Amino acid sequence: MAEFFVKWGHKRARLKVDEAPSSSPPMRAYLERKVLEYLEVKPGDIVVVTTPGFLTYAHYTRAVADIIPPEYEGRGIVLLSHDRFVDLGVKKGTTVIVWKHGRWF
Amino acid sequence: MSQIQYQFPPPVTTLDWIVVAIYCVIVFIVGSIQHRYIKKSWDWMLGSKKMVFWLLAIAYFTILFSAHDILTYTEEGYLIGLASIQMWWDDIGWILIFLALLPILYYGGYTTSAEYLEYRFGPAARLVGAICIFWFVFAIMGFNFYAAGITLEVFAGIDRFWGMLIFAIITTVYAALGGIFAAVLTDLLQALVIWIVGTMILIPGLATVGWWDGLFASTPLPSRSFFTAPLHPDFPALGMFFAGGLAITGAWYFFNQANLQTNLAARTLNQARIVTLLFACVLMPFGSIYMGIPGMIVRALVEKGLIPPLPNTAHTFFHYVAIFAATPGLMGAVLAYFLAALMSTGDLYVVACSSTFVNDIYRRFIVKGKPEIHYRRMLLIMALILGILGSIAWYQFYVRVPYLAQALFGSTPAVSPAMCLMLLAGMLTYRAAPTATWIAGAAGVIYTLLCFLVPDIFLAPFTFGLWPKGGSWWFPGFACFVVTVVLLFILTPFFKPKPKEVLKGLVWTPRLEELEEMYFKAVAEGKRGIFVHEW
Repeated sequence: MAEFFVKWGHKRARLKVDEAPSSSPPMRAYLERKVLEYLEVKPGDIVVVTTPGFLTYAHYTRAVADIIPPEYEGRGIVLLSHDRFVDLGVKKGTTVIVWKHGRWF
Repeated sequence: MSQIQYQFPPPVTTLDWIVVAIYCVIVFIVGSIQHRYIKKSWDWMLGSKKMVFWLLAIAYFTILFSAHDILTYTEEGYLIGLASIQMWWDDIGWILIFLALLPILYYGGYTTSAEYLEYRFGPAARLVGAICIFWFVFAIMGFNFYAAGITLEVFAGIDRFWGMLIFAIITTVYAALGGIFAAVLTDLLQALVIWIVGTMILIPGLATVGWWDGLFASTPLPSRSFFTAPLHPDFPALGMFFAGGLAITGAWYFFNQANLQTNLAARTLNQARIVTLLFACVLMPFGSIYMGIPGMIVRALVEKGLIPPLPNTAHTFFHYVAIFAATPGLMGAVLAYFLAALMSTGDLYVVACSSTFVNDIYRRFIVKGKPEIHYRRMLLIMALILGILGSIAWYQFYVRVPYLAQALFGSTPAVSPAMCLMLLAGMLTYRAAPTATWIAGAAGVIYTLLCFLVPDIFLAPFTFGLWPKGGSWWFPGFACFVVTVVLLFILTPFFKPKPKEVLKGLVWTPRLEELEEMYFKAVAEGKRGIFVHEW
């Protein structure tokens, strides 16, 4: 299940990462509706996906938010298109933090 | 008080060399393993804008805190006192301008400032810009390794040229493998060494002279002033202002490629701004204490009659070390401190050299349209070649000039005014015409080159009567400034500027939201920034 929290005044969600089907267009991060709602993200906005921790530079990527297909709803995951998944550079099932790309974070 | 007895050069034991070797191996391994994170050339150059701001700020600080600065400013501290750290404190004007103009560079998606010049003024301007960046980076990187050469000469008796080459090779190899990831992460380690060991060796010196009161009471009156005489034969305040306050500081923020990469690698524009502010308002003033003060302490000891005057002022730092840190183990830590300063600066300059060459010259003018893997490999190969070549390019000039500071401030900021003026003209005004601007910039660079080749004719008129004294070498940057600015004013009315509509995002605007929107739209389309399309 998705966990929500606020860090440095910024709403964030803790999710497991998975790769979207190969038919998915590039630059996409598919999120559940309630996650989009909590993060105040509309489809088309840019979200940041990163692993938790201090030295996160190796596992950090930006993607365009979209609504997750209904069959994935309720699993607490973020689906990344292949290019974003490779850019993030982690294994499937890894815990990641997602937030709306803003001026500061 | 009795004279202080010390051995010069300070003795280096096997334990010290072991400490140095362990330190070098750790840095090399940490740097090299970052190679696994490099997937594309943009990762190597800018960390794909993924870097954490505090790491970048520390890396920014360690670029400044270099081996050559330790030697140069300690020598200056000995010779002219407090004025030696003046150049570390005179950035404020440039910082404000840089922070205001940073959105143009950040949102544009550029890797180098020369890349911006192409979008603003065309390919010729990019070429001139790349030459300026090379000049600056080669000079400052070479001087850094030259300082390492002097160190090996003093401690191990190895000729300074070969010492310089040894450190150039070590630094180049790990920087080439890991790119900016390697440079930034090893800089964190190196900053820790700098702060810990720097404080450990500074405190005994200050305690010996009676802390700040004793230090200022013991140094000669001119050494307590923040400025030297305007036309001092070796350290003219006028030249220090032009070379240090204006030229090198302008270069430092706008086209010191190593610094720019640490700014542009930040995740957001505001984080990039924090990087600069943390560096300029906290880390740099703090770091300046480690620079000139040891030299002033040595001078105070000389004035008190505790040690004889130094025969070679270029060795001031080593005398300081010989007096206050010549114990087995600590000496090794001091050498590691010096190496930390050396490698933390050198690695980012190696990355900068290669990024500039591959991004602005090779990919743009020589081999176009190759697969990404080709350019990634070229970045690595060129880092190895340019890191070593660049380190020796200025060697003959450094050997010829009487004082280290003159060598540093003569060579590094020389063409900075040409580049800064091109950038400022492009970012601040719609009127700057492409042809006029690149011609003025190129003329400034050529004139500066002539200043070094035939100084009697080309440099002398700009030295306020100081030629042929050593102090004249503070003025090549001033010559470049005059030539470029005069030509800019003369040529601009004769050439047509670009229409305003195509300059959106290239010239400063108070409506930042518009730029921001354009940037996010570009990122959503998978672009690097507003203008640069390929990742």
